[in-house]
Amino acid sequence: MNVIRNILLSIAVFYIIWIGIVYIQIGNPSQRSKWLYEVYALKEDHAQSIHGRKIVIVSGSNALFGINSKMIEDQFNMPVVNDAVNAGLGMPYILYRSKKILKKGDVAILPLEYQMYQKEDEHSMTYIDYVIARDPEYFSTLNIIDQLKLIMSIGFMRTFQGLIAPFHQLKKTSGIYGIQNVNVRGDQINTESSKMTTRQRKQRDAFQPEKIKSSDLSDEFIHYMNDYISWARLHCIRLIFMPPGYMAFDYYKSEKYVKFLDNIKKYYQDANAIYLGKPEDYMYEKKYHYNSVYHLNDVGVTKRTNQIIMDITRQLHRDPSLLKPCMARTIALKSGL
Amino acid sequence: MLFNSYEFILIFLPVTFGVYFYLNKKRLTEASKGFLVFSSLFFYSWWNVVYLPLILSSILFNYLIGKQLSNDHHLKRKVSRKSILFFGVLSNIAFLGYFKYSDFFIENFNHLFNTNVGLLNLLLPLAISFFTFQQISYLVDSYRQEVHTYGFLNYALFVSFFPQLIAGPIVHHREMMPQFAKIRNKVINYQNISLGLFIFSIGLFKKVVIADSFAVWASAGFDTATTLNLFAAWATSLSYTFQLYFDFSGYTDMAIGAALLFNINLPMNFNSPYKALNIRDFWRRWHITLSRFLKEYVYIPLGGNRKGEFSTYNNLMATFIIGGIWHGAGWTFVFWGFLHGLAMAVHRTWAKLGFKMWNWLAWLVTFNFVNISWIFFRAKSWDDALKVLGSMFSLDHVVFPYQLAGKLQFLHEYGVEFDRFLSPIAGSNLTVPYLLVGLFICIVLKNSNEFLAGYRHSYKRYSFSILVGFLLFISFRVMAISTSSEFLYFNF
Repeated sequence: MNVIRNILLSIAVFYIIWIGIVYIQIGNPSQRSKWLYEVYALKEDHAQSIHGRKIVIVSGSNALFGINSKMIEDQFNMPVVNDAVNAGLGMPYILYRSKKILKKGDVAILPLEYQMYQKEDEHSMTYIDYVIARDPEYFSTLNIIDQLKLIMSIGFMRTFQGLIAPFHQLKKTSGIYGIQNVNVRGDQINTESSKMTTRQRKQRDAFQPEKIKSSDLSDEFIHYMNDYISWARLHCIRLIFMPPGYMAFDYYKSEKYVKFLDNIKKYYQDANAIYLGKPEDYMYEKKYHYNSVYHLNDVGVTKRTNQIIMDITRQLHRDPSLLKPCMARTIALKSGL
Repeated sequence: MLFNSYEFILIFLPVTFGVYFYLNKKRLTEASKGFLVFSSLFFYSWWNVVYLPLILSSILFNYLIGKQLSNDHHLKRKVSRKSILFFGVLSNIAFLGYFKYSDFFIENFNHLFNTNVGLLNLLLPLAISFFTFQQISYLVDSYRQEVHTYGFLNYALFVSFFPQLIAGPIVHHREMMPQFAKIRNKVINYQNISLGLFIFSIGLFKKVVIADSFAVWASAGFDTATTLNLFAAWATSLSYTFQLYFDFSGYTDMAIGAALLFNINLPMNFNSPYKALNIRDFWRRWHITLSRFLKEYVYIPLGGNRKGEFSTYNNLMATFIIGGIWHGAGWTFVFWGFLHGLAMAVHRTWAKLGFKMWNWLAWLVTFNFVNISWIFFRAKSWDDALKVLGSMFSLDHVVFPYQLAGKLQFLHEYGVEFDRFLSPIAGSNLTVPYLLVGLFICIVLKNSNEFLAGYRHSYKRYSFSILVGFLLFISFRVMAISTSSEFLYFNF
């Protein structure tokens, strides 16, 4: 009996030690999160420097690698901040970050990645790493259960890296991901199609469609998005939802996938939110892509941005108030808030 | 339900354990057995309840045949015992054949005769190969009058006992039933619980920490990669070699550990197989209960080594080919069995001629033969097997780590590339150290049975509890960040 008690006790002690080790390393910067942190800082600095109304693009990397903000800025005469960074951070966190820079009267364009619509309550390594390393403030906003869940999701290697982080000098970011390849508005640069190597093209051409298990939207998505839409209405921020830029495959014409796309549209209709554009208009041939099914090269970026401008302009003809400051009280009353 | 899932470890196992011993404490021994059968069938049905009637019919059928074969009914019988045995064994083989090999035969029939007979596309009932073989051995033992009948409930428990139901060890009726009948085994035994938890924790660790790490690289190399370079191909085959061992021996350890909680000793199934110095030695160490089955119920009945040299070689080959096809319906499995049969024949000749080899060389040859033959065992098609094997022995596509580019620049002239050499199998900086650690564990460390024997008299030490706690803690941590994966032998 004593042996079993001791085994259970040992497990409990190991867990306590583990939680302690993770707690003491919260805020220790990691190499993996460096580029995300720097890119967010650049974008948020740009957002803070704008004093009037602005357009903010909120999403994952499909928008970082897929939108020319200057074209939108020139077209609609409003400053644009491309706040999109990485879908791996997860929709709840991306929405949380956007709230920091969105102000009354702003317009947010949200071309969310399709995975976000089906994500259940699970954390990606990118998110875990980022929150532990760079955002203690966000960590502290989580309830104790969510904090424990996050701690329990950390792998051994990451824990070790976090512990030794204070004794290591982080390397400068290199490669395509990093502040060195992001312009002042927050768009990814240096993705010229003409400069893509044969190997890059070969890798791109090998991409396969991302299959879905069901056509339903996840409860997590609905929960967080309902909250976000309510928050935006309360703060007089206009939200425009759009399809993400995506690599075209026949699979996306299948009954199951079409139903999934219809469910997305239906969700926004039911939520009385604006959803512009047809998903198929934002699905591009492989030649327009860079290094992911969501990442476009420079030619693809121009093509997609033109499509966004066209869809917004078309909507403006129907609803001239689309980009105008909202009337907070009216909207709040309309939505029953 | 998987052994490496929270629902098994935290709910099913404790509840089954508690209720079983509670009923025994209240002297409801038949009820406790009934409960254990019920729990085992619940455990089985967790995957797919559709197959519950199949296993139940199989149990009932074999119990009735076994009863006919038993001594008690000897005088009343009109049909000869041999005919009953023949009918029983053939029915089991037909049952297994229908579910496991129908499509394989249809495909080959279509190919041979250019016909277009539709495939049945049957889903393989879980554990069918294991419980069928176990019951065939029961029938043969009954025929040989080596078993006593213990009633239907006991028989159902012998077949369905959850720790060994899905992937063995394949047990004999005579080694299980006396244990279930023993009065002392109906009381909680804290030594057995401690040792059971210990070996269970080793098995869990082997599965979730070691085997599942190798699985990533093995799967990428066999299934995803279109081409492999020399080192990536070796890393692929070695990853699978270690994955299979840690996965299956991990499962067996967990089965032995879970059974020990109920005071049941299951036979050893692995004894450091990768330490083997020849192929015969390997088969004495790898999946021991299957080897025992094949020897007792296939090789010896075929004549074994009693009918001259030529016949011995034939029997060896037939036994291993049957062993191969038992694992799966495919020519790659047949070829894998053939390779092992051939190796056994070569070894026999070698030994008869009195040739010797240095131990290190004998180990190297044996390990590499086993490693290479697993390629046919693992590959889903001939093309996949040849992709891996071809790349392992070809210098056409050699990629060295890019860090060596400066020092080994001259190799460029010979077509050597410098890049992330394990990227085709999604490898990382950890792949090579992992392979080395895997090899170290397999050929240097004691195996779990040796550890168990070592702790049998010192399990009350604090270090024992801390070790078990540590293994379980690490395994739980890994389980928390990954999804439970099935054991490889569930496919067989």
